[in-house]
Amino acid sequence: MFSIKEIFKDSIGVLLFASALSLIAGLFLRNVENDLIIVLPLIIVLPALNDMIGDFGIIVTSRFTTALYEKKVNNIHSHIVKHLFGEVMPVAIFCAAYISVVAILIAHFRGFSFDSSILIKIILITLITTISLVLFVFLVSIVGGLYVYKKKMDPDDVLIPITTSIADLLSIGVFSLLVSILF
Amino acid sequence: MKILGKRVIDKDFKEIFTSEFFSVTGGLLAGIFLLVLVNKLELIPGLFILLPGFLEMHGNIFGSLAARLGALLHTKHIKPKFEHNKILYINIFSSILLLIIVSLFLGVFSYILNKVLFGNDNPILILIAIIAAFIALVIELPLTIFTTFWFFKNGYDPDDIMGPYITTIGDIVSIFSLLIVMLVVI
Repeated sequence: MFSIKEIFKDSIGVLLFASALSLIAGLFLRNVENDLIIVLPLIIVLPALNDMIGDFGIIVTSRFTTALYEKKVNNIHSHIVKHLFGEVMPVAIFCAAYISVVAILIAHFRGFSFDSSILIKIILITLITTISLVLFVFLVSIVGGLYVYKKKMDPDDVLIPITTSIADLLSIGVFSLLVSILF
Repeated sequence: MKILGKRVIDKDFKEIFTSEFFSVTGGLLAGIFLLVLVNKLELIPGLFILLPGFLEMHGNIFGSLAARLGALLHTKHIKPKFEHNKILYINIFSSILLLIIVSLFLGVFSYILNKVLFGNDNPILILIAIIAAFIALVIELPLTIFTTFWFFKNGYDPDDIMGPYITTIGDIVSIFSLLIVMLVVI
């Protein structure tokens, strides 16, 4: 983070890789376009869901990187890792439930009619996508953070684009898979 | 609050919860705009391919910038104010350079994928990606720097807050910048 060359070298590869993954996510999005248009709450919930999982990748990576620079952590079993998990997962579950309910209400006000089974399905899709991907992103951030730091690179530059891209790609993938199963 | 005898609600938890609540609420707002935009997006074939990468690019580049600034503030390499500082300039210029290259990459490959897979020859996608990225850059770069400094100065940890903040603002600003460019192009 002290020279343009260093930042560019650390970032450009992963940013282009992340962008390539996002283009694949874009292809998924184009394929599920019709399903999303039929079930309005799904299209409302999609950006928030995508953001949320990427956010947790950024939070975990940046907190863990700061702890690495401050020499407070050096392995996956550190209490800082457990503490971070205990903070992140409850917030993720609450937010998943929140966005589902609010998206349904917004869709309802725009004329979307729903029953309890649709409500449960949308909450289930959001919760399953959130829990599975937050677990995955957490693992990538911690294990990747230790590896990248040992390679004398900045985990902030390398892992934030990777975790957010994986989150984007997989959240659209898992989300559309669950939509096709449940709807 | 204690769960299994351990204190779980501390300052970091509150910061993560608050910032994430703000973020998902902003995400829902972006979802409503997306709902409005769906019909307009169909007017430019291939824009759905560009959309996730375009939204994510801002989170990636400015999220990394905020995280680097957070680490520089914590390690006292920079002060939380905009002043002549070579390290700060290096980080700003690097972010601009990365944004130009990545938006060009996204535009070119969206165009190629759209042409090869869907048979739509629509080079305007490249122009949309670059111009919309510049519009978003003008708004997001100062926002990222000043809010990182503001949170740090006011006793908050930017690491907890800036990620969700940047991705949310990034989504909303990106959708708006795309809308502006589309209004000009169409």
